[in-house]
Amino acid sequence: MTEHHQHSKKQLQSIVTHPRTEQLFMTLISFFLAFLSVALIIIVLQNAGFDISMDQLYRYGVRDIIFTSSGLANTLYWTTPLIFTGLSVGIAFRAGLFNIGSQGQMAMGAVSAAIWAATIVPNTTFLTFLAKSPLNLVITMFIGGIVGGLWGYIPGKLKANFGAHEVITTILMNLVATNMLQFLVGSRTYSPFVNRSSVDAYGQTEVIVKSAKIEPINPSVSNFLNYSIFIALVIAIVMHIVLFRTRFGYRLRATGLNPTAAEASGINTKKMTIQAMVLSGALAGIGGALLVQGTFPYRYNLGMESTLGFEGIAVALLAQNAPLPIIIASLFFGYLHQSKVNLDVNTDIPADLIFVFQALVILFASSPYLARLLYRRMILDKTAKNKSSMLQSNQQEEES
Amino acid sequence: MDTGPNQVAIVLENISKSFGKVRALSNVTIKVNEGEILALLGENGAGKSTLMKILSGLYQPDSGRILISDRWLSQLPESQRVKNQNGDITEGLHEITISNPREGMLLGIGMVYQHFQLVESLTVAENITLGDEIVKSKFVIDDELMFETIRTLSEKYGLPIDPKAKVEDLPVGLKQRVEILKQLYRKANLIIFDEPTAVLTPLEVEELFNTMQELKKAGKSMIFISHKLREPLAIADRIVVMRKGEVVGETTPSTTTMADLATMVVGKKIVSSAERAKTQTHQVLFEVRGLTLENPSSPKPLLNNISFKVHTHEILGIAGIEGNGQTEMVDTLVGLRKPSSGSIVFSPHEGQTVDFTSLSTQEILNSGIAYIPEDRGTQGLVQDFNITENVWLAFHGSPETAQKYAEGQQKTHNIQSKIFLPLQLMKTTSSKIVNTFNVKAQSINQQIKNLSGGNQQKVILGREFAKNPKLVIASQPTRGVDIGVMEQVHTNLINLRNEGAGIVLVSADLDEILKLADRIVILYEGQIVGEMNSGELDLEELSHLMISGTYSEEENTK
Ligand SMILES: Nc1ncnc2c1ncn2[C@@H]1O[C@H](COP(=O)(O)OP(=O)(O)OP(=O)(O)O)[C@@H](O)[C@H]1O
Ligand SMILES: [Mg+2]
Repeated sequence: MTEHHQHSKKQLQSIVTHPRTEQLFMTLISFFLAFLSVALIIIVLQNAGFDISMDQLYRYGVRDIIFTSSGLANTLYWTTPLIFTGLSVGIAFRAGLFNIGSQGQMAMGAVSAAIWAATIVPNTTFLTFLAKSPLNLVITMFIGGIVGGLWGYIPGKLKANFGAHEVITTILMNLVATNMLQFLVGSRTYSPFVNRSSVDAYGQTEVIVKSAKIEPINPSVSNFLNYSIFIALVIAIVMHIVLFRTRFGYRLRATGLNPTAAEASGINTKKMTIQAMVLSGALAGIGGALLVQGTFPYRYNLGMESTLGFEGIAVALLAQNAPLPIIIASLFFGYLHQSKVNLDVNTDIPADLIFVFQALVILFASSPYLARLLYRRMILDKTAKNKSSMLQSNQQEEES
Repeated sequence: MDTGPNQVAIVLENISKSFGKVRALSNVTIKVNEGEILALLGENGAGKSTLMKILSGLYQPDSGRILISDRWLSQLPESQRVKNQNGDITEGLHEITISNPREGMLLGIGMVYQHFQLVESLTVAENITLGDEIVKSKFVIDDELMFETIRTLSEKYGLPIDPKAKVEDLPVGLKQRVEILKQLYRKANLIIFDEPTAVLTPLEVEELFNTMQELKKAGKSMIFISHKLREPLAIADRIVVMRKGEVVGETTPSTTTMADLATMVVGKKIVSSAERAKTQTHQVLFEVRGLTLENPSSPKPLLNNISFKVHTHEILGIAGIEGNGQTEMVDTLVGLRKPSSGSIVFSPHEGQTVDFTSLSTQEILNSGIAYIPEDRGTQGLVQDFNITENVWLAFHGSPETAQKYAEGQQKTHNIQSKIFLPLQLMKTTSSKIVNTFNVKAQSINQQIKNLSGGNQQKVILGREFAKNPKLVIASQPTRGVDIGVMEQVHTNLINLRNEGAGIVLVSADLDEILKLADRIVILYEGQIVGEMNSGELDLEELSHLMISGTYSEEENTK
């Protein structure tokens, strides 16, 4: 055995046994298992007499998305809000909090940004200058962040002061958000911010001023994909820095990993809980604002947030709450979201199938027993054999 | 029973195990006889726990074999026997593989963990039978039979316990007994105790030793790990010493002494260097007055009107059996609990006083005190943080302290930033601490949970001493560290004291208190029931106070 050969083998060994590699493989195995399960479900459905055309499934669920530039662009369009909700859930998780409220936080951020840029700015005399100022693009974003942050603050405060469990309170805040939206834009009779300009248009705000809009990157490819994806990427990187390079992030992680030790080291864990929830809500809120700012016809539409908030939970789980992997996970879930839309529009195939797939990926990824078993059997055993043969040859060399 | 004392029960042969680049065990061979208590000694990080984890099935060895005796094999349940009969047979020994703790259990190897694996809200009997329940029908537990079985079991081995008691109501010693019974219920042949005495009071240790003697009579083999040398001398049949992943010696209690054993463990002679020097100026540094902490669930307060003073150049020992308010008192001193009444006044400099009762924990810690919490696992460390991040727990509130420690006068790192972590300073500080305290780790980026127990404790000790504190509040500072490190910690404490610091030392180890303290107060049921100067110690009186809370004369005069 040449020295070089041995060296590279050792390297391989250390790569394979590295926890990150294991994590990556286990994620891939989770995908594989989810894929198999969905295939099984389809077969069962077909046998039960449902007409699921594989051809259509492939055409609209895969080919039209992955092999066309507009499909890819639309995938990226969904990636943007998913990065935000993924970060929102991920940051809260890092602080030991399970924020199920990103959905409501995002919706509230979206509607507030729309109200600000469509109603308040043009109708308030001392603010009208903003309709022309590029500053408004950022301010609108921040409005979404502030209101989303408020939607996070309330559960955070309730947890810190009264020990109310955030899972319950954030779910309730989602309900409050739903009803709030209904009030704000849902009705032509009483909603203060509904678009009254057309007869059949209810459930939407007016169009936002031009300065708040974010243009599509290349309208000839996709009307959807816009420049806000770059904001998402920057914020994901910023969140990475916040978590791992700042004093705030350090305290946040300590609180999440071991609140008792954090407290004993002087960290005010209650304050951290509130701050983390505010940040979490703000991220979702900004995601909502950007959704309004970047989507034609540039207004808030009831339900435009879709289930992006809940999908953020999946994104965060898959990415283990790490900001940079959240980008990748968002890409994947962006693809699934687009395929769901495609199937809905073009076929009779229930788009819920994609939901099932999403859920299964999460199920397999978050209960890693099966995946780990497979990983150990398939990959580690092989390298272990290599290793022991390597050891033996080492010993022989030493002896001679 | 007809177990010959020299019948080999189990052999670990040429076991090696590496974690990454670290070789935790290299070619370790030990054997345990039937009905034998084998003590395993060695420095922190020597590989004792790793070896035991291999034996119990938690880890797999990289190479080496585990062999059990014919007789052992024949006692096993059918399924296990068949599975394991395929291996080599040499001199009545069978090679076995233990792929996970469940298999280890089925093979009759049980481990009593230091952190108990008990469900607090269940009864003793339920805990013991958990996972192997005694049932009437498929889904219904047969309570009567369960209690009866456990009662019989506990009588059989002479380990009295109330099967119906809730585990949460039991003192530590009895919880440990539940763990032992759990292993016996699962028909363990070999019981491993990894530092069982670290959390026990001296009385409980005695009880445990009686238990072990009983088990020995019943033919059980045991492996016992401890850092307190008098314990293996008292209980073991044979003592094996490990160092740096290898077996370096073997002896028996009758042929060795404490001093020899110490030399064997550390590899060189231990010299206690520091002495409590005579010092002149004594000012009150820290004064606690009338400290009371109510108990929300009982009219009896957790702390009842506690008052004491700590002077400069003084170590105040808080003696007492664990569970008499020590935890609550230390928590209150550092602001983790707010007292119902009383004051805690710290005077770091003449004319300057701070009242801790009105400060947050962060402010208290920033005022120049070191705090060594009692339970390193939950209070002292974040297991998923690496060494550096754990070191930083002591400095994140005042990076200046770290700067002073790491760089002395020459300040090269900018720590002004309110936003960013001073990563470079964190690394320098952590490296310096790891070197000073000789923490055995792959690198300062290693996760703390992968360090041996004693090395984790060293990280805490290192970072707290690095603060160069005026006042130290130390709870069980040497729990889990080897004798070499213990000596170093004692030296550090004494040096600090000689330089003028005050130290509050809470320890379950009476030897430690007697060795270090200038003055001792005795805590009993949340109250201070007595005080003694180290010069005028009456040991009998001290233990009497610890156990009953009263002076013995009082009883005599009654
Ligand atoms: N899971 C792990 N990953 C990496 N290294 C480990 C792991 N477990 C143990 N080690 C390393 O193996 C060595 C032996 O550790 P072990 O816990 O067996 O020591 P020990 O003799 O029990 O020490 P102590 O007296 O402090 O408990 C140490 O250097 C430790 O850092
Ligand atoms: Mg150990």
